[in-house]
Amino acid sequence: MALLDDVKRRLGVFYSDANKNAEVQGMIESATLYFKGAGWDVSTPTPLATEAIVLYCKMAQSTDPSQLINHPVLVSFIAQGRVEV
Amino acid sequence: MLKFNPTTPIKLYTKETIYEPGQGNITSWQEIDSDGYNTFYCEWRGSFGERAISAEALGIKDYATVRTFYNPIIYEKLRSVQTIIVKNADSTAFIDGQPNKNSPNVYELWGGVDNVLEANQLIEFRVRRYEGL
Repeated sequence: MALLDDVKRRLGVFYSDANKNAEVQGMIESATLYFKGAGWDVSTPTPLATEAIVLYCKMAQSTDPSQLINHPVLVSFIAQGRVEV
Repeated sequence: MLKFNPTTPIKLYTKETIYEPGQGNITSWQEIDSDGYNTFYCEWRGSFGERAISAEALGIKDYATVRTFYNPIIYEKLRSVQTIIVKNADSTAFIDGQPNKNSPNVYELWGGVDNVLEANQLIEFRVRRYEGL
């Protein structure tokens, strides 16, 4: 719940609405799986992980597919956060 | 998608009227509160040059264009009741419960409010200095 609140504020959502909460929660879950696939477990978010989730959600909000890219800052976050194997 | 940088804190007050039995209708200015938040951040773009001079010909001494995040409470209030916008969240904007006409931070809505692309993500509206007209 706390993560949902943090991400909502960073996206500029300063109101409570069940549909909006579900939308943001869905993006958070997608981000968590996306980072897991990249080798970074963000299920217990650090400030860096929260930042990465926020960036992912901001990108996911865009309705322009051409803007959905492997953002260099996102890649940098993953490089810093992922576990060395 | 529209890119903007919301860095200016604003507070919004609406003119609300309630009926008190025995006293009649009582009108007062109420601060907009959304989910426990009453200071909102926006991008505040002032007016300069030719456009400012054109506005002054209409009696508008100062106006600005404000972009901020969509919020259903703010959007509805801007569309339906008189709303005061206080730039920089100035705590001295109201004196004895009334907007301070001499404060350079007190504005009122000028024209309509646009829910940008009807996307429920951003709203944009213009404000003019509140002069109590």
